[in-house]
Amino acid sequence: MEIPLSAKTADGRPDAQASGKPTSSIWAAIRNNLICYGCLAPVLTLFFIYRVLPFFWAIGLSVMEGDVVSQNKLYVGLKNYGTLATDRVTLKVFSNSVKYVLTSVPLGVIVALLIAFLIGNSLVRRPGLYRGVVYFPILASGAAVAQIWSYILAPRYGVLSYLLSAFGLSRLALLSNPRTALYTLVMINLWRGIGFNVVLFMASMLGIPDEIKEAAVIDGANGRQVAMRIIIPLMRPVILFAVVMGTIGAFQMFDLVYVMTSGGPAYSTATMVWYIYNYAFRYGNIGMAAAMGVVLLLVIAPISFIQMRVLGRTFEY
Amino acid sequence: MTINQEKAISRREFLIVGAATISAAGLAACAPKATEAPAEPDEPTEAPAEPTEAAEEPTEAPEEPTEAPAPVEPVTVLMWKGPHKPAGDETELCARPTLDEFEADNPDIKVEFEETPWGEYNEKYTAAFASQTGADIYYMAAFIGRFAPNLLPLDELIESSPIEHGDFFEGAWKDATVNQVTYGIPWITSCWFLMWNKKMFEEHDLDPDNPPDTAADFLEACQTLTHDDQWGYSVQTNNIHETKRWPVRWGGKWFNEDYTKCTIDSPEAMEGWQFLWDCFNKHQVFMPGDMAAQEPGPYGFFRDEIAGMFVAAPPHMKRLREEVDWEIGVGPMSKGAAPEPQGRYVYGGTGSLSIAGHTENPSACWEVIQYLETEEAVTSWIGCLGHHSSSTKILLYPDDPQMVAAREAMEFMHTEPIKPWLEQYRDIWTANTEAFLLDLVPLEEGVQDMVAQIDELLASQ
Repeated sequence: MEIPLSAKTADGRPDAQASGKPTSSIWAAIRNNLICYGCLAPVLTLFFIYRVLPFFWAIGLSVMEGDVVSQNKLYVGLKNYGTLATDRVTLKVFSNSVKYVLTSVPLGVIVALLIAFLIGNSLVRRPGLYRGVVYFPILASGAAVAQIWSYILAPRYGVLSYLLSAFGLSRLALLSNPRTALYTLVMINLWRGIGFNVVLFMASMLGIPDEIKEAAVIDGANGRQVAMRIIIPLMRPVILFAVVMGTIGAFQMFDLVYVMTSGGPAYSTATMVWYIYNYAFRYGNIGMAAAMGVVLLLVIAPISFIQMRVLGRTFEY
Repeated sequence: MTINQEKAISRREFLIVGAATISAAGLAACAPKATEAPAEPDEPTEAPAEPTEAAEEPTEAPEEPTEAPAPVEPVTVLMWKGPHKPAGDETELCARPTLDEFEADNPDIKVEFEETPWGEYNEKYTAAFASQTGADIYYMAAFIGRFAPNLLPLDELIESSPIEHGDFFEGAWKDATVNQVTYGIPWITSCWFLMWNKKMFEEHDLDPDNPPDTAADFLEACQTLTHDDQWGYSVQTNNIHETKRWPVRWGGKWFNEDYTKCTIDSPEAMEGWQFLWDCFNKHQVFMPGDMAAQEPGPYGFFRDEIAGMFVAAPPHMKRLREEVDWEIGVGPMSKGAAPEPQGRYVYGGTGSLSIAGHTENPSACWEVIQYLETEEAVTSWIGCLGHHSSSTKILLYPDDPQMVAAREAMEFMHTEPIKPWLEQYRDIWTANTEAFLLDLVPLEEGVQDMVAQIDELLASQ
């Protein structure tokens, strides 16, 4: 078949793209950028294998029933999703996760902002020391943190009990009391993770040009007004990042729950990821685990989207 | 129209090509390994026209002796077992010396041993079985119910071996059998028993040589021992081994015969639940649940003389004896309203030795298992752990009256259901028991909730 003139390149060779054969153009482009794509290929391959494929695989598993160790899994349609909607433990763990997010994310941002202000503006002596002290717990593994706090909070032998008894206060069983256990985990995780937000906020704070703050001071703004009306609004992209990542991380809370409370007492600290783990590895129902994973995605994605819409407006210095 | 030879590929195009390439690579990787085609002979081999004649004369011996065949590489099998930590370093103290003996007698088999912590066995075993990798020999406890489809059925091997059914506790076989197929050879059988602090008993004018016989005696002893900062008994409200036995000691049963319904809300079971609840909340003679659940746990509180009694397994007692300077009393649990043995039921179970279905060396694994069932190996390994053997013929500690008493308590062993849903069932009952024992919900309501959830679980199977 004759190729129309318009579908020829300047040097007279046929233009495959225009002739409805895009592949030769793709291959030409790949040939021309072989080194770039060659460098990208390993990462993209790993990304595809470990991120993209499992995502679709999980969706597929969510309509199946059976143990992950079993060769035969039954197709059950949307039954798993139906079970999730009526299972009382699912509702409990979902409610725990929401409580956890609603307390840990605002606390994590507000406390980190306060600490960043104190250290960043040299309102404390030896700011470098405090920066190190605040960041240090991040370096410890979740299991180690859990073990340390288990001993600190032990009602009889723990350091906290000892200190409280010195003041004549009764012993507290914070982790084994269903009313306080979840919030105790929030505080422990705050202690562990606050350093990340502090460093992030301090870096952002130091990046704000001094001229802006000085101009505000000349215009008569006091310290609080400079902080609330100049610095914090200009830190919005970083705060957004901390909020979105904090929300995702809080919904995925697992390690402290697994090591410190196993979801107890009486499911009071059970979170969604803890329950997903149980369905996948202990209860032998990978379909329910996958369905919960999909639901978790459906919960996190719109929340993150809304957060980005609300906090992510563009700005200029 | 001109075309830009340097035009960069669009993202969409790149993704299409990338996905196609990776998928092709993935499919290629998943494809079974191609077997090599046999080398084709130049010409088809002709059948010999006539049978080859036998050599008329014997072949001459070679002038020089032929070289000895190269030594065969020993087969290596991997064994996984959850460690019994109270005994100390199980690998170094118990497992390795035993397996070294086996290897010395069987140079063609090498056994690698790895401890799989109890807290991680679910994910480790799940991943191993799902990927058909992992160990060749597994120590299986009650979770055998879930993993049985991935294990080698052993009935035929048992029939052709010297292993006799009658040499083991009958209940031990029950714990190794799923759907009438035997997947494990019983190895460790152990059950909990009551321990009491003889010194504390003496100080409170209680009989230090005998445990409280009935539930009423038990309550009375607890009341006597409880004062100030000390309690009669310590157990976690969510203890997976102990709290569920209280309604059974009053005659309750957790399930009907065919496991289609939970029946632990029967009137007799409710009496047992009520007794347990009263001990925690009305009489307050059990250490408060929120304290017992935290470090150092009932073992530590008993060791530190804060609790006068607790129940545990032989290895706990073995370790305790090294840590305390007072004498430990050992005996059966106090009897509830049900007749014996049910009235004294305590947790017990069997750990058995199983072979992975995917192993490439089933006969080597079977050799190892048969060795581990010998008296020599049982004494070396299980004796080192402070557990008891599943064999009725092997008495490990004949000169140790406490261990003999602990073995006698096996008469009151109450095992877990060997079902794939065991873990989920455990979570349901521990969470609900915890809720009513910590007085978060009324007892009746808590039990009814628990039964409803277990029934839902059973219905979903």
